[in-house]
Amino acid sequence: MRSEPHNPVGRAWTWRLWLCLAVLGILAVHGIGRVGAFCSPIRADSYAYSGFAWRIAQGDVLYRDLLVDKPPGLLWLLAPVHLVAPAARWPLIPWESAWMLAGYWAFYRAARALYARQIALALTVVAVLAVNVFLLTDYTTEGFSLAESYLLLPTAGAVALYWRAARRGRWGRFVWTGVLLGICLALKQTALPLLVAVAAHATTWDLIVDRAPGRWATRAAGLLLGIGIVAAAVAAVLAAQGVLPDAWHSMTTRASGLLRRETGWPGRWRDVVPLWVPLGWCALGVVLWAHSRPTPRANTHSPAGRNLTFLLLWLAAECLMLVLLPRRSFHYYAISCLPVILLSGMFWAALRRDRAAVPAPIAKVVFATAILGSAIAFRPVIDELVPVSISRVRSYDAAVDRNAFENAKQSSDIRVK
Amino acid sequence: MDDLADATIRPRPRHRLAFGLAVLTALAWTVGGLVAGARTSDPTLASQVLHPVAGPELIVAGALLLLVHAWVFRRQPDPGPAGGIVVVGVVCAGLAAEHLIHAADLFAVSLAALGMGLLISRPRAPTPTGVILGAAMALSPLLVGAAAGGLSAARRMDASCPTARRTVRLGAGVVLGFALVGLAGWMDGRPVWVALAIPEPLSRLGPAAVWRFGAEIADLAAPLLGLGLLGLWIGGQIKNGENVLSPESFPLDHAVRVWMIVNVLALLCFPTACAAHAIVWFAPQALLVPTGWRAVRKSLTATLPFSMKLTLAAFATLLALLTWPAIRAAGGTILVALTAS
Repeated sequence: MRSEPHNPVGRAWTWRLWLCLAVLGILAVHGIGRVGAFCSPIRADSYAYSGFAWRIAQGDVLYRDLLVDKPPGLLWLLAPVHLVAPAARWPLIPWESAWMLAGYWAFYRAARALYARQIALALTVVAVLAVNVFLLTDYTTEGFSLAESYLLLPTAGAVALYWRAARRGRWGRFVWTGVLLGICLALKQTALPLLVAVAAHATTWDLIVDRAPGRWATRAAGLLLGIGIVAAAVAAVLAAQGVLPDAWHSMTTRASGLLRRETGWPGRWRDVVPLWVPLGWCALGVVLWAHSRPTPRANTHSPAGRNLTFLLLWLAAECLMLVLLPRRSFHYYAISCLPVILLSGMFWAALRRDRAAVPAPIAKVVFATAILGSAIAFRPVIDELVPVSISRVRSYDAAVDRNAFENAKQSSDIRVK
Repeated sequence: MDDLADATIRPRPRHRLAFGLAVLTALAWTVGGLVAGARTSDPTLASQVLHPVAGPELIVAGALLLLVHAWVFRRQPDPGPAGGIVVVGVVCAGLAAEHLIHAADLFAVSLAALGMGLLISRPRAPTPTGVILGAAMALSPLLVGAAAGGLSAARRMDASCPTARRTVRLGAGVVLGFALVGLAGWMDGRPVWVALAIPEPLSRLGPAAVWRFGAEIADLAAPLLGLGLLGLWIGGQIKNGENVLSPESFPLDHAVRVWMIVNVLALLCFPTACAAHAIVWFAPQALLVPTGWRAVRKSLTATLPFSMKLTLAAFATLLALLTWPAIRAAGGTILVALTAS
């Protein structure tokens, strides 16, 4: 599925042009999305997280002085910011943006493992748009500095690293994949589907398809070691603070009580507007894949086929989690949409593969039609992103923001969002 | 490139029939929309207050100009202007039927399209072309891009007289046409600078107006604009192909590029956010739609891989679905206006 350009000199400039345009587009979308989320009139999670992080920086202990039903990773990640920055919410802006921008890069690396660089770049732009729109238009919370913003980097990084580890078979990479999975779980329980997908994929492939129990045991040991390193570090800190049982109770019993209260499954197509185009690409990609595969076994046993199998497993696990989550909040979709976007590259890969079969102008017509049609279909997303962000900036009140932050500092309980 | 001209991928009769039906439908739509807009014209509309010379007769004159121009230039080596103004007419029809277009803008765009056609087909007579472009610019200052594109293209054209002389003659024509229309406006009681200056307060300029403008007109124009950009891209890609486009197409391509660049600047200075200005912005892209259409038509008749056929079919359906609400709304207005006694 992955191929290199044939004319490096001629295509280098084109690639640089597209790269510059894509980076500019990513920065613009990210800036609009983050500013709109920060200025949101909803005052919930980011105030509580930043207030709690400030209290942790002042010496309060999580799960003793502060009650949360999430893992401690997010608040521990935010607390150092308040060691060097004043007590306010705005210092989280550069911190969150740095994590998200690194997350975009990790997503590009994950997409690059499957597709050519042009396709990977396009998918990254789509992912940036989808993530920012989902976070911005979540009307249950403000979408700023949520766990999902910080989950993007370890999630995409774990996927990219897992694919590289599975291809090269190096044990150390499985350990690092496990470390990233552990970081994901330390940030939020909603990272569980990715862990399930990795476990199911490795087990299915090594034990059932390839029938290599020794290889499976080695890889599983690497993954478990990585996860265990992070889990042990977190547990050691919590135990040293004397709150390990309380933390375990909050993260499991207390949090699971919220499940099945409602559902996080998007009930309307309108809820997933940023995924309309990628879903269309997926549909076309599936048709093309079904039409072009020479033999089922030859296709599914290729490295690309294995990666696509992983994406399907990940998507299924994410869908199951969305059904179980307590409410229809769009910020859940910011991470759950990633396998859909990665899968949608199948369409462009198939189109790219066949372009050599026709004269260049005709291939350009087809690509131009697909690109312009997709761009036009993305218009509702842009129409939602930009006006919402502008209106929030105009209605932003710094004094109210400060008061809400001060109130959040006095609180001592955060329910899961 | 030679493969495009290969006899094995020539359009089959049923493709010719489909193409002919599409053109006839577009023409019928254009006539119906423009006549409906004229019949239901309201002289109190803000657009006609801003442009006192506007009126139903000007809309009809613009429509006739478009159609005659399309007919005259249909057999030119490059049918870009002819087919493009049909597309311009289609968009105008939708806007006129909804009372969203200034009659003066429509007439000005018609003149600009005529000027572009003359620029290509009558390279030895640049002065009349300049007069037409100047008149267009005087009727709608936003069409300064057309004049700039014409001048830029004239400088590059390879014909009997020296290029510098051609540019001077075309420029003189632009000034003359501009002055004639400005003088006519002045005699009609309008200040001359209304024809060339922006009559709105400068405080109304800015990105907010541009954004609102885009949001208002995009429902109708976006899919067609996409096709226009497609035409531009394809035109740029295959402009050097001997068997696909004639060498004369190059000046048109260059003129339209300059026109588009100037239009982007003009867009930032639009005094009002109104749908009528969409057509001014849309016109240069439309002129290259036929070029893109020719390439698409050839691609449809060529032996394509399944993936490309599926892609073209899927996105053509998508564009049709996106365009349908605007077509239905304007079509309803057209039918009501034409059937009203």
